Amino acid sequence: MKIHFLKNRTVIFFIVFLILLGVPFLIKDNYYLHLIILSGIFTILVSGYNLIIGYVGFFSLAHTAWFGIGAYTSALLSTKLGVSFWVGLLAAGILSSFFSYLIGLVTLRLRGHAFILVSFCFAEVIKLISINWIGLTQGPMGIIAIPPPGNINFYFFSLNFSAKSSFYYLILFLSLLSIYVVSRLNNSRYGRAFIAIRENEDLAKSIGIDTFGHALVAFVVGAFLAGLAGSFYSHYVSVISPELFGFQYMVTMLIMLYIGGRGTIMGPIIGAMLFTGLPEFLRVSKGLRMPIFGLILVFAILFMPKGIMQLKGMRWRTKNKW
Amino acid sequence: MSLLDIEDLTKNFSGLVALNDLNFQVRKGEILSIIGPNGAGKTTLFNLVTGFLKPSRGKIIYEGDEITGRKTNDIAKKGIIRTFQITKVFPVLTVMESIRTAHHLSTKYGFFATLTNTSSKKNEEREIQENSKKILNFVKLHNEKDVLSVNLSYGHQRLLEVAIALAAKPRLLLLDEPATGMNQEEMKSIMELILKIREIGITILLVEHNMKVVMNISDRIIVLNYGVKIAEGSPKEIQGDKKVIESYLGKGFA
Repeated sequence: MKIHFLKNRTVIFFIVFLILLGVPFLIKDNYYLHLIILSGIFTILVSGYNLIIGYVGFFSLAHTAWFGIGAYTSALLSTKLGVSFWVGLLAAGILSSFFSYLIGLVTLRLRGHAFILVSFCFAEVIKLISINWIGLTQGPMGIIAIPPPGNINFYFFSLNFSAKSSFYYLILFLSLLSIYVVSRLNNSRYGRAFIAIRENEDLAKSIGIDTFGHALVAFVVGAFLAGLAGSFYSHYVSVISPELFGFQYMVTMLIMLYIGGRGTIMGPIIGAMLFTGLPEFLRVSKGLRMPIFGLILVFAILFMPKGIMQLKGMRWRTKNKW
Repeated sequence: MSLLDIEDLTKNFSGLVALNDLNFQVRKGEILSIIGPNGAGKTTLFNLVTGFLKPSRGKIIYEGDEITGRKTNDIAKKGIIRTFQITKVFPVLTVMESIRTAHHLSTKYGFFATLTNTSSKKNEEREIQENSKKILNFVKLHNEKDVLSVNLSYGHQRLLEVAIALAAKPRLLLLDEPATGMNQEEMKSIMELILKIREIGITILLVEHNMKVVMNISDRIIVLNYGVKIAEGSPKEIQGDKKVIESYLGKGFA
């Protein structure tokens, strides 16, 4: 019985994977492919954001900072020093997590409103630095002409980044990597500790969980993933500016997370796909686009306060194997 | 042989003295009860021992190590685990998941073992699964193992709290009013459970208002009143102590 179920799941994963691989062949329109790539970027961002908000339950408003730091790190390394994208990608993840570690050391000792406000202030400080440190970041002018990643030729496998489909395969790989990391954490003593903190911090402490240390792990891993997404983004669109740190992106990510379903693996994926697509598809109704979008949001929050994952009759989070 | 030494422990809350120069010892393997009227400082004592509060003065020594003012999770690591006066569970977790979560200290695998899902990680997970089943049988919650904690009856939630504490492998277990709000039947089973826990080698420090429970299962009793120890002895000695009767019923009754 159990083996049968397992087989089924493997089959489903395999079919989904094949479809994902075939997307560039099925969708020839570059605009739609662009939307799919964007939703991939958001999948990574929101999955990482979910760790601190959905699992640990700390409402951080610093996530755009990690995205922006990743984007700037990678863009500066390649435009100023000519470093390869692949090195820049890793450096972006590491630098974002380094900054989140420093900021987490201070902020994660705070709770409630204090944490929300201080995390937001740190994000704003980083934004101000990106605007005003003109020598490094060229300020509001931004960084232009960021080169695409170098082509990969590896026996029968090759990616040529003059084609959009290559970016698609790269973001597919990075998204799957992020989902893998988050689900591994979810099914471990780390995920359990995160949820324990969210559910009852005093009880978590009293059974020996280092609540500060675990919140820091979630914060830093989330920032690492956001750094990867930032690096990919900068080389994909080839132009970045301090707008990256804008609060509207934080709001977008929060909407994706809350409507998708926080504290679940699938929630961020569904949220990211839905809310990159939806505003675009609503374009048909020109002036009414944003009002309709707003209404959908209001109803979504009224009728599924815990997100779409709730509709499947699931609990606040995915059912764990542990 | 003493497991826990409390030396001159004092706690002030901006002028209010919750505990005043408290001295006592918890011996290995005993059930020691702390009783006293409301506001006597019993829960404050628990909060000090488990690091939720820092003492104003005095020392807490556990197995020869001073643990005064350490962090709660570090104290838990040493084997002092508590339950709470007001029920605390993990609401959205099932009973089984809660117990597995409470095994945090007995899992050792690190971050990279988690990401690569090593066989040692899988083994540890299998072990805590087995051990969780044992604990659920021990506290007789095995029939509720897939029920969400928030949906359990009050009595079962109290049992779950004890089960969570046991999963953290205590050597000294601090129970804060485990029998409060229980009916006769439940009270009987919690008394049996406490005795069973002592039998497997866990020392118990108990705060309880229900005298039937206290007098039946305690080896020794300490009576607190306004943060001061007013009596210490066996249940029999305490029942006959004038000062104790005074503190509970007033001077006219003694």
